[in-house]
Amino acid sequence: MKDSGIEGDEKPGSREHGHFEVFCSLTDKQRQVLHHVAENRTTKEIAHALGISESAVNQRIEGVRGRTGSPPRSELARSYRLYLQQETPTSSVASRPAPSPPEETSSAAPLVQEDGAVAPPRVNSSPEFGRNGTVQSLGHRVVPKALDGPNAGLTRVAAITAIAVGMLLVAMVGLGVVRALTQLF
Amino acid sequence: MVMDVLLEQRDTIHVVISAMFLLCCLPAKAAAPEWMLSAILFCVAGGNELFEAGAGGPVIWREANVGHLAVDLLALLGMLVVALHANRMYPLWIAAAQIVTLAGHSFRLGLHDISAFAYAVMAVFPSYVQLMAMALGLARHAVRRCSIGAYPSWRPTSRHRDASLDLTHAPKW
Repeated sequence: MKDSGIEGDEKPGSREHGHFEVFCSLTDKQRQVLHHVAENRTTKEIAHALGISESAVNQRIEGVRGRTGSPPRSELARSYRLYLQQETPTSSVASRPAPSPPEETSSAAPLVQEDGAVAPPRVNSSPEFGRNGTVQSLGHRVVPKALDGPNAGLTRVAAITAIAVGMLLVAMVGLGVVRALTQLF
Repeated sequence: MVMDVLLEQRDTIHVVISAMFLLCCLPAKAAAPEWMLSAILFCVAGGNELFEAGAGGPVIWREANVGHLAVDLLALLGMLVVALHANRMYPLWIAAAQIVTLAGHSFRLGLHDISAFAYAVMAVFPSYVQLMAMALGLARHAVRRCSIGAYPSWRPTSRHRDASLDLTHAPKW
């Protein structure tokens, strides 16, 4: 991978601004790939997630890199994250995917169209895309934080055990009550 | 009367209901955890029926139904995998109920004086909890799909979590 010369004298802000202009005109396929690049996924992971070949992934990334002055992949990812962050509240392109940084809010947020109307969040119904945690859905928490953290495996095992013990206790108490009632009447 | 039907016709009831879950997964394009758990529940019920049909009746060893024990053990493994990795809550309940079922089998194997009714209750009724949890889970999944669209089926792996926290991390090309 070669690093290009755009990291020379240009200020980072202006360089990213140039990237943003390119990001505005990306195709849907390039956008999908860049979402994953922004999540620091490898080419192999992206190819698996989108159900395409690794060469197709590289081709799409190279297409974007070629138009943005061939920045390193990490810089492209950072620029796209910034682009998503900045574009979220003022997006004027209805077809733009709902942007969101991986660490922050849900990107399933509504989009504001040119006429001021709020469009529903763009939903990618592809099972592959959803299963691998697209940017659009990362902010929605389904399970409590304790079951999703770094020790999720342990906490989940503990939760399963607690639920099982709870079920047994409820069954024992229930059967005891039924037995007591039966003896009463 | 109702209790007898629930105990004796468990496998038939489960085959029908879990087949309905599988059918529900088709039009809703349900995610992987829903598919997997519906399939596991269907296979457990169907496996029990097939096992008993193939063996000519329940295979009893030390007063425990060994066929059910084997099928339930395999099902627990699958359920645990889903419960530990899915971005869902209800698989935890399904796995917990399966543990109760296996505890019933274990008690029957280890304790000779356990009553047949207690064994039946422990081994059979948790499966109805599983059906309820599955139904609620499918309903919640459908509601979420409608309200927020596609969302992750699995919790992020530690590798992805670390990568997303480290913004300067450059992955291999």
